[in-house]
Amino acid sequence: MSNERRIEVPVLTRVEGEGALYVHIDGARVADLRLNIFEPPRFFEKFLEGRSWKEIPDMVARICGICPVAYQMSAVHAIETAFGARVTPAIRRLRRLYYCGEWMESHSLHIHLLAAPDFLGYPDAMALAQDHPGIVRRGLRLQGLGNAILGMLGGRSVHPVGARVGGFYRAPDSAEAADLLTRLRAATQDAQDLVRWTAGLKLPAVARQAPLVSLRHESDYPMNEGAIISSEGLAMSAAEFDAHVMEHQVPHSTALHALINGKPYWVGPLARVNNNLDHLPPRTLRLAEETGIRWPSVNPYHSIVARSLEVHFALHEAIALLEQYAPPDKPFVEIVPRAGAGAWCTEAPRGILWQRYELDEEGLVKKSRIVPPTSQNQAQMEADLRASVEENLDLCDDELRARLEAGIRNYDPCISCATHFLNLTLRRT
Amino acid sequence: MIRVIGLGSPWGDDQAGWRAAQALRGLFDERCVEVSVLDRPGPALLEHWRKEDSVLLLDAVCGAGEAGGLCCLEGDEIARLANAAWSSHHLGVAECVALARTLAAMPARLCLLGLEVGPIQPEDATFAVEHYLPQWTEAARAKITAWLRDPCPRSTAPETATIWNG
Repeated sequence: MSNERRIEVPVLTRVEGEGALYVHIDGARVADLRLNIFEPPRFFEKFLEGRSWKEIPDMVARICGICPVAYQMSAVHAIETAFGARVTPAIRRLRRLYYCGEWMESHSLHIHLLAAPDFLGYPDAMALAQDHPGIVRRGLRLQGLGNAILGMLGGRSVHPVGARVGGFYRAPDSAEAADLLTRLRAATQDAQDLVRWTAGLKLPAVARQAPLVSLRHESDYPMNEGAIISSEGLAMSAAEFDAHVMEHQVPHSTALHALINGKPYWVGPLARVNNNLDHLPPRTLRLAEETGIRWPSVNPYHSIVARSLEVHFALHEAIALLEQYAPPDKPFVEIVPRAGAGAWCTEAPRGILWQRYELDEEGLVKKSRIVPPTSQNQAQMEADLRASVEENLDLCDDELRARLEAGIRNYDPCISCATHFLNLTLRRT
Repeated sequence: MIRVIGLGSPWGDDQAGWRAAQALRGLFDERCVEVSVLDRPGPALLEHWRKEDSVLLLDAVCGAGEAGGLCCLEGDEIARLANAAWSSHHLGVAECVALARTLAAMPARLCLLGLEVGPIQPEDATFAVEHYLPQWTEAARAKITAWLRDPCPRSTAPETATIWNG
């Protein structure tokens, strides 16, 4: 009797975008495991060449409908670095508010509509909603508030157009800000309940050792600013990123894989929480301690809890920013283009998003590079899945398939950003 | 409030919903009829109505009909078209309406007026859309007029609520 097993799943659902997984198990050994991303590359970096600095924030916002702010913020900071521009503290605060909106929107969507069914035994969010409508309503409310922040600063919540190099085209007036503040204050119980609810989910206990990479700011929980650090002691600026991070092509993926100093690494909310626990405000930190999780955690299943902590953090951060808000005299600083290069990294909901631009004296893009978080996580996702297969060989094919799909969702891959599409093929021999 | 929502994107025939909604702007008292357009909102669609609203969705559809044909679906008829397997990219109008129904977050009246189109191409609207757009807009205008004459909403669900109520 053969010990080979091959398991195939034609479509992996509940991820951002589409892709495939193929696993070949030979006895107790994983002979082959491939996270297949086979949708055609999108060539965004090439599209940007020759375009004006003024167009870039709107163009990169089109890369993703879930995390456009991350693309815009990494781009505007990188271009401002190239031009030697400095924004005002008021603009910095507005950018932080903008990012709070994106974290709330993206994390709430992922927790409730994509990940939660895995841990409550439902095939999808619709089935979950039938038995737990209050939970899904809460998720949609929190997502809606994130969208409201994006709409206020970006003009619309999907592919927003309000951000520009130097700041924003328009700042909200006091009445808009006050109205949103009222709505956010009304949601604090929802955010607190969310953390306690995710902490109560029955999550598998596993440990994955890999460098956890995130931003680290001198005083703030990181969003737009900070050094890039790893849990293994590395610290670097955005300008040094490509000296440590090497991207490479693998035959089964149209998205590049990335290694940090030759090793797979892990970005995202769990890396952020682990690396920045001391920058969480006391009320969020208390909740983190209440979860019973021993932080820092190397269990990727704790990502859903980290996401909920970041929803709680982002909600309260947005409230604090709006409480001190006064419309600025001008929502942007004047930009004078010059020839140069600039790199920047911000914290997308799924992890660090690095961009680099070379521009000519008129501010036209000569060259660009974009390294999204899902590309950075791909090698680590495959390493994690290999470990999961070896730990769960006794599971039947259907159970193993479900476990692996949940394992992929821990990373909330945005395959659309990396490129698009995921099917799962599992082969045992 | 009657909310008219044009759904779509700037691309090819997918812009039909926006074009129809924009053609309806200014035809009604804005205190009673609000017209907006949304670019593939996903589950955020549920944020755009309240339980007491009458909601008219205008969207390009790819059904069994020929390009240029009109279809009208009400309430649960829309939800029944939802697919079970979801990724975030598959949260279309039918799935969102099904979710709203499950969450008891349906508006009092909900109607989708669809214009049949061919596969969406990143080009200008096709002849079919250009030709049938006035007819489609007229059907939407007639629907709104009928709703204005009948201000008592008929519930399309046993219970109506909103995601904003806990």
